[in-house]
Amino acid sequence: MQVTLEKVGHDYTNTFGEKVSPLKEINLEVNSGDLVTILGPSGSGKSTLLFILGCMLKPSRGGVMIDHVEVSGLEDRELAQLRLQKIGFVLQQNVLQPRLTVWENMMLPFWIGEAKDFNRKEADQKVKGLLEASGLMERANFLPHQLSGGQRRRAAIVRALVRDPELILADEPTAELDETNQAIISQWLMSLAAQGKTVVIATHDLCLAGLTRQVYNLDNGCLHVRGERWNQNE
Amino acid sequence: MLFKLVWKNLIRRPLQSGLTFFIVAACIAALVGSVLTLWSIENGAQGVLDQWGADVLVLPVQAEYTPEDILFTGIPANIYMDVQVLNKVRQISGVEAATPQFFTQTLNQSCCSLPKEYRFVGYDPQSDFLVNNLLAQGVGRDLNPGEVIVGGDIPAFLGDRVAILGHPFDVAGYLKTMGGSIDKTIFAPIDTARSVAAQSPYLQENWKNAGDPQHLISSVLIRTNPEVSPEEVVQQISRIPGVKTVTAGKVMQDLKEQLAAFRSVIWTLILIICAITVASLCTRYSSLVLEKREEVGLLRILGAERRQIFIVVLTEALFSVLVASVAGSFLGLGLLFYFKKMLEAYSSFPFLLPSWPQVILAILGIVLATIALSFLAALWPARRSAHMDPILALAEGQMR
Repeated sequence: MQVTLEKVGHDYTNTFGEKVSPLKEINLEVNSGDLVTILGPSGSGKSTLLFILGCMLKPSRGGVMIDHVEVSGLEDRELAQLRLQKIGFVLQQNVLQPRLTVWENMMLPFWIGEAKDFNRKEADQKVKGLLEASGLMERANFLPHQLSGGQRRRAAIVRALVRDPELILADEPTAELDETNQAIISQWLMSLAAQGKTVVIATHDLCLAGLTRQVYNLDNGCLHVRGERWNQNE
Repeated sequence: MLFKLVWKNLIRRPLQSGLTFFIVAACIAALVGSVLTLWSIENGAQGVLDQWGADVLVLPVQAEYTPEDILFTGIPANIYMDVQVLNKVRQISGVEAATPQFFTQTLNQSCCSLPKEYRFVGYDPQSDFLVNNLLAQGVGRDLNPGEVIVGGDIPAFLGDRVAILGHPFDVAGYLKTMGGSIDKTIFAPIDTARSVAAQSPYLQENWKNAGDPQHLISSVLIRTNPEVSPEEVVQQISRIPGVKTVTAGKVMQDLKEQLAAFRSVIWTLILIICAITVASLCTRYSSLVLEKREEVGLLRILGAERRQIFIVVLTEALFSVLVASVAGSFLGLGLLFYFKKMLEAYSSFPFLLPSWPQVILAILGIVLATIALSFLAALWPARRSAHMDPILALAEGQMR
């Protein structure tokens, strides 16, 4: 999957009526198999950029193209389908539906789709495989509040992957995790890119960034290339 | 497929779902109970007025009961006047028909083979223009001395034999259920009723001051000539000493006024219940939108369309209403029968349930109206959820 941002900017007005521009002019192109990290301090607009990449937010200006299709011209229904079929989101907070078990949370993306859209048995097998790979199978019938922070984060990543998306957007995937869980998740994201997925990570975790091929700095609303394998060069 | 999510949300949030359930079930129960009670009372009152069929009622002057008491409860008034009153009444111009009745006593298990309390009234089969018109089954001929006609609420069947004050009687007919005291009345030929009263030692106290029961009557029911106003007849009757009169018009007017007041009270309460229910549901559904912000944001990010969010919120809101409607309907029927029991025990209002198809239609109407109100109350919150900015919804939801 190819995602291209051309001169993307985004503004909003705060409660005091002041115009805020977290993104001024962003140019970015990511392709299949790319593992991209966007670094930047809190409030720099990393999450906003991910939401724009994930077709959740229409930019104030500029163009977003996914596989050469300009997404600003798509209807809400088409955008929803795009998110459902092709994009996997790992949100900054461990957003799991609190009244669904881990297993049901994993099935949620299938429930959203039409029944004809997937095979129940295949969906079950997919979820089971991912839960086993993530070490969460034993917690399949637990509710989210019964999981640890690391388990919740892993569950959120599994849910982003159950429909086999082409583009994975991860917002601070290793934040507030212990070293073991950080390592597990970092390895996971790298293996996804190795499988040909497009992975974009927003983080301020330099260790995680050090494992990725392309690193950008989001500074003052603009994206600057920090380098490829920059940690090895510094 | 998102119905699974709706179902899980409902069963895993028992307090919130239960609150909606309680609001709707209580509303429907109150509406079913009150509407059907009002309907039953109006039905009963109408039945009694229809059955009465007399334009003027003549009573002994010492009668202390109100006409409504006599009409609806049929308090066994052991008050008597001389049978000559009947002859005098019949001679008055404008009286088309006059028939006497003789109140004997309230009967119960201690004296008779009857499971509850019933009143025993003598009527004159020859001049009667009331009882025969209300027959549901039986008779069609003159009533023999050992035969009785029973009201619609008395568990006896044609050919049954009942023991009354030591005398066996055959049930020769039974009346339609009218909702009033007549349903709990046993009618015997007036001479038979008088004989029973005369022979029963413990009824002697009731009539011994008035004279021989064979020459006594308790009331005269009069049907006036259509060309003469009942008031003119009443004026002439007032010249007969020892009697007083009640006109049907007056009774009906009083009754209509009482029913109108009662109806106003019930409908005001119904409107208040509806207003409280709508307000509670609006509050409940608005809270639902707030509670579901994070979920809505998540579903949108995962690829749910606005249409799906709208359906999820609406379904979640209305599912409890549907279940509560069923429970509320049964609860309402329970209330109806409780009210029936209370009214029969402590009030003079007649009570006649509408037919079961009418009851079911009324319940369906109430349920549909409640569902429609709930739908309207849920519409805006569902639309609001569907059009929520998912990122904002997620952020606000997480800040809760």
